[in-house]
Amino acid sequence: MRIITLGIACTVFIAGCASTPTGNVEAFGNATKGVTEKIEGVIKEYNQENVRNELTKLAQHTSKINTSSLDPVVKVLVGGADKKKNALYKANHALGTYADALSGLAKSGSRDEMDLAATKLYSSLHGFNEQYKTLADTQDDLIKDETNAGIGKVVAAIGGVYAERRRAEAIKEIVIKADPYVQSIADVIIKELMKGVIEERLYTIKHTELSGYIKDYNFKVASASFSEKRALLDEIYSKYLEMQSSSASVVQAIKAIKEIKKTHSTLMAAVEKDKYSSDSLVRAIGRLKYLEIHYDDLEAIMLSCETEIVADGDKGIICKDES
Amino acid sequence: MVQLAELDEAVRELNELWQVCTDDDQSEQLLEKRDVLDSQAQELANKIVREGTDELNGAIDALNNLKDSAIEAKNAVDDIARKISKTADAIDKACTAIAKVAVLLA
Repeated sequence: MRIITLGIACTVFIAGCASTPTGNVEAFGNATKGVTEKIEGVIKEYNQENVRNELTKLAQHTSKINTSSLDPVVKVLVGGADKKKNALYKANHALGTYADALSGLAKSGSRDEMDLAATKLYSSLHGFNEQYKTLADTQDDLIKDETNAGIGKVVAAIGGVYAERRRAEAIKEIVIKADPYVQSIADVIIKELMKGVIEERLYTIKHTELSGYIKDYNFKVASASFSEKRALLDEIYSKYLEMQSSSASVVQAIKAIKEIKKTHSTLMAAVEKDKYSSDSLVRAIGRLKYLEIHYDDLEAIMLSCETEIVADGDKGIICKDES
Repeated sequence: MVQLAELDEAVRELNELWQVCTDDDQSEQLLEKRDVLDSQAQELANKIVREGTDELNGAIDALNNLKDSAIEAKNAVDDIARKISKTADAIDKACTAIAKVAVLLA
């Protein structure tokens, strides 16, 4: 009994000293995973737009089609599906799965699971005691009920402290080892995105589609009523805006990846000192989370632009010198 | 990349011409030229985005290994709660066994 009481006291003491909140690591993992999913969305959009582009081109011709007219679509579809050959996809996927695993590690051995295990243990010990009383034909407890609850609590607390220590050690080791790779993979993603291939092609593909709508408008302009022309112009304007926004998601992706680089460095510096929570870390994760939420927002780019917003002939609306 | 930008620019210029062209034959000719340039642009774009280096592949492999370590560590930490549950299960089984022995001895 004395040992148990001493155990409870020690555990309360240990639990008070060794608390390592890993909520920031989990938040970093989740925000990073969110950004990589959105970049994957850009790659997917790029592939889909390439397929749509073939259909647009087909629809712009006046000649009749047959089954083999769709061959170029199949060629594009098959080419786009081979993601493993895409450097951007590979780099982004590696970053995303790492972030997901880090987030999973940060929330492992949760207090809820420990409490559930403790309750189960208490229940078993209680059952054991009742069994003893039946067999010994006595009303005296072998182990008092409050002692049972105490044992359950002690085991859960020791388990919790041990889990926290194991988790913190693992996070520290993994984040420190991963940092150089995260930095170089993020650099590759930025480099790939900065080549401008995706935004350049998306802009042209959307220009080709817009041309079809303008051609239709020009064909009807002499005979159509004002309201018909107005409705057509609404459609044209919506396609025009889509074209102008082509670079928005790519520009946001570059910003977000730069933020992931910075935040991972901040995280590494913090865990090296066994600090899992600091103002700078919270600020860095907050910035990353903001970029994740406002990812596809052309308005967000325009509001956050610190230089000059210009309509670029090759990329649409961009923030000058930031792309 | 300069070549891709030039191809895309040419595609867009042909689009602009086609929009206002009223002659059907000329329109088709413009589209034929545009489609050839567009296919070239697309092929070039695919080639550019597919370039990867050994350095990148090495970094991806290393990060994937660390991801596996993170998953292993997570399972090890989660195992602590499972071990406590197992202890509870063992006590339950012991109770059942004792009860059976008691019945036999009675």
